[in-house]
Amino acid sequence: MKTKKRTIGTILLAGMLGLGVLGYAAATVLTGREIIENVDAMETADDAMLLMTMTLTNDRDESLVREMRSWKLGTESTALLFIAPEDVAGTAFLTVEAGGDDNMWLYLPSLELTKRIDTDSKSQSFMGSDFTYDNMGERDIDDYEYTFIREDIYEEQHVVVVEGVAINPDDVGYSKVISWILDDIWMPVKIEYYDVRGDLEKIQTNTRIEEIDGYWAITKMEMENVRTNHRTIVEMTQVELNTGIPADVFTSEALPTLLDRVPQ
Amino acid sequence: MDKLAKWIIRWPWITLGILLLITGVFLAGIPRLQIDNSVDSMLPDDHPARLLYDEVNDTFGGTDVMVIAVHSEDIFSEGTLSQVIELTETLQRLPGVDEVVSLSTAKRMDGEDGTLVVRELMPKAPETDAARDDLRTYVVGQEMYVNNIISSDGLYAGIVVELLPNVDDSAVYTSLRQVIDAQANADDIYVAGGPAVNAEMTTSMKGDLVQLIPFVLLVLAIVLYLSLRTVAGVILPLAVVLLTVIWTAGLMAWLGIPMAMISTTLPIMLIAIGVADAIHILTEYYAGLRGGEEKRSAIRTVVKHIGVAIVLTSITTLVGFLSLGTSPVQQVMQFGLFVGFGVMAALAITLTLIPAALELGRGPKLGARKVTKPSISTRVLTWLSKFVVKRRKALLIVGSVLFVLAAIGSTRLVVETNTLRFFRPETPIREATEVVDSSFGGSESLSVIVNGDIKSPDVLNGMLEFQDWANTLPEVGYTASVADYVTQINEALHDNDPVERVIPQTRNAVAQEILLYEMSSDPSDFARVVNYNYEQARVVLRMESLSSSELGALVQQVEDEAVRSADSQFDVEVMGSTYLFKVLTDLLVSGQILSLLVSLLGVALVVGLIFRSVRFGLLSMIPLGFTITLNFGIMGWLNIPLDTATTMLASIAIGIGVDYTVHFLSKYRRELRAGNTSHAAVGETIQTTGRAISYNVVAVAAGFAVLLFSSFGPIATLGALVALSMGVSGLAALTLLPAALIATEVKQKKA
Repeated sequence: MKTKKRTIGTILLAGMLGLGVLGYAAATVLTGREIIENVDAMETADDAMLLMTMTLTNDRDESLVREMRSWKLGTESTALLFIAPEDVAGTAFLTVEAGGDDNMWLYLPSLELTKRIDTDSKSQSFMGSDFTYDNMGERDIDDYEYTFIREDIYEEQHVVVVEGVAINPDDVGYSKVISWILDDIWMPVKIEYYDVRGDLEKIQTNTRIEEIDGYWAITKMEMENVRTNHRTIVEMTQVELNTGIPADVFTSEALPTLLDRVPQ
Repeated sequence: MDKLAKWIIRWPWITLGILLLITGVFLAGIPRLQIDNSVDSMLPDDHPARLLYDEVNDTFGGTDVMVIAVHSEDIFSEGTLSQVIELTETLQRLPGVDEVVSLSTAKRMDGEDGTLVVRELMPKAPETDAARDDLRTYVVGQEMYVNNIISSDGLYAGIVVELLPNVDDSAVYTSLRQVIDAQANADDIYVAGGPAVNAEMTTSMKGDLVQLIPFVLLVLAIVLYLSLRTVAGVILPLAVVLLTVIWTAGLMAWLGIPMAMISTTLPIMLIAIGVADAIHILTEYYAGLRGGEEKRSAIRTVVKHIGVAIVLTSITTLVGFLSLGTSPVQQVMQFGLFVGFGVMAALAITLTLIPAALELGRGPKLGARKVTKPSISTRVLTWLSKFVVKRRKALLIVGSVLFVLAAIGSTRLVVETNTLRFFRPETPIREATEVVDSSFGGSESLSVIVNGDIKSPDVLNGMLEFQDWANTLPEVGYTASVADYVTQINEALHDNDPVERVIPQTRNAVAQEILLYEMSSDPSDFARVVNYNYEQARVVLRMESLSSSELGALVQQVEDEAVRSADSQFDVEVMGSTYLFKVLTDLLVSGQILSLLVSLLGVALVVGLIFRSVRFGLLSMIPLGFTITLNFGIMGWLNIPLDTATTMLASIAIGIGVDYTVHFLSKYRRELRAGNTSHAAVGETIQTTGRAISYNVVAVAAGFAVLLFSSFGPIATLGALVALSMGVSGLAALTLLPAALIATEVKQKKA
């Protein structure tokens, strides 16, 4: 499951997965673990530049739209810049993974203030959305034990359903995760997250999966919190891969200048 | 009427069969009877306070909270913290619960060595002393947490449970109670707050009624036996009462109208009403038998004479209760309509069940008793009849003096509901409320709704200014708003410099700081204090449990100050379920005064029409007006407030008291028509109808007096006052009414 999340996360923040291993072997002969390994083995782009729209919708069907630009280097570094709404434009976050730890910086343009943030990012909401960093980011596939459940048809596509049971639920924040995975390209289309007590908490659906420059990418995804009826849709409106983003973008000193790097 | 009697005497079994069948239909409905005791459902849908309440609940989620205080030697011990985490998790899952706020859901925003710390305050209970001390130091320093998730005296950990809008308080409270009671230290955990009080109130009320009604019936049975001295005289009135209750409750069930707080008293009302008709019929019937009449003809006579009278009394009682239909409070309106139905059901049952049963039963041997020396009641009635005629002027003078005294007393009457005082001091809910009120500064919530550009520093500063003022009020223990979050973030961003515990200077800075907070929290976290587009915010005030008038004064003060703080930057509105309750109380009472006038006039009008006499109509107001005034006068002198419970009393007094008057007038007129003088007619009426009235008064008053044993204040008060007003009303009908009758009769003749 992690893996899936990882895939998704990778896709979202980093961009793309390679066509990688094609599902030659029939899904039925694979174990749950092998399926997840296949998903995990998808190749990612070296770097990615994304423009994304995040739409938050509450239980009264009121919506907020935020626009962000993100730069991603490998799977380690991500710079994220708010473009809209206007009152938060220029606010930027930098996440750099080093030695298993996430280092995070924040820049608030109104206060001209750059700060290091100490946070346990994995269970934190991603920018106030229903996605957590965990749902979007890399994760260790060894956190779960996987079982192949069944083959199924999901929205007219052939999928395999794999259940991942958390080895240590308190650490990962979930008791189990069930994924519906396209077994030809090893991309998840739907993921259910069950909370520590075993109740369904969130449902993620990857509503658009595209092939871009030879990488498979999820370019539109939705997360619904079934308890609060709060929903988030994240849509990539622009994806550029392997453009050779300079490494100095991913430094705290560069945060105040990110807005200048946005192509007008 | 006579035709009916003849038919019943001919087909008693069929009559009983039909009754049984109808009863069966109503009985079948009773299992579907629903219960609804939410306060908000009592207010009319279109009342401004209700509209605001619904709107605010819709925007911010449930605004009703229960506060759970967990007492511990050291609230930062691993055991207590683990329990708080565990309880929070469990309570979050209870149906009807919107959100739970505690040490385990709180955030930590801290500035340390140039780094901003944004974390969950306590993902798991800290295991080292150092970590616990660190936690303690942080929490104690956060204004937003003290008096909310920890008490200011440090003795309690707080868990604030927010309910979803429009849920059944009792259902949520019951399941919450189960969770708490299952804790090993359940005795150290206190649950307070409006929904808890409401739920306890409903439980107490229902529990007491269920426990006490059998005793009411027992006392009634004893009084009936002592009065009528036959087994049938006990069984038949009780049977009428039972069937009436079944029919009325069954009708409510079939119509899908839920039993509400007010209609809990319905059975009691129906007992009082149902028994009256039966007593009058039986008294007259036994009098007939004693007079040597044969059973069958006695039945027919009684149905003919008393039948007409009880049709009349039922109509007047109906008018008395239908006036409740003018109440703006839906539940009161429904209550009035269903009591009205009960009155008619009692009439129908009395007129069919009793003749049929009498026909089937063996007539008691009453003839023999007549020759023995007159009973005490006979002697008293005989004395009374002479006394009233002889001392009528003195009676009227004494009556007038009492009336004036009562009228003066009634001006001292306070309109006041203090829900908590309904409970005796040692009850757990009062204890819990006292604990939470004294340690956390309050368990009830009030919301000040702010409409404006919430991200504007001016608006946020206005909110803070208002909160600072509110925090100086002795009744208010805690305030919170989105402005607090912003100052918390701003301080943390500036390395915890206390000088920076302020709102930043620009709107963009506010927006960006809020974004930073959102980044670290669940998206619905802020939803409780600010709406999605930042045009409406909620300032939460937690305050002590107050009486309705204290609350009214506080709300006025809060409103004025909020407007002042707003300085035209934003609009304010005040709401909260406690406040809603106050609005409801006011509405109940004001509605009641109108209902009262309507019933008094309605009854007078109907009596006037029935007897085709303006004089009778006006005279009928004497015992009624006297009873009501005396009632309110006594409440005024004894400082018994007019609250949601006692306010129903006047209607009961009119509805039931009018019977005595109508019976008296009806008999008096028959005596006049038989050629008696007004003096003789009064004497005869007191000795015959007076007997039935006395039995009725004693039976109902004694029955209601049983309610004095209720542990629940409003029920005990209601019992005492109904017993009292029955006595007053009966006495007035037997003394003031005849005195006035004679007085006016004489004048007419002279004229």
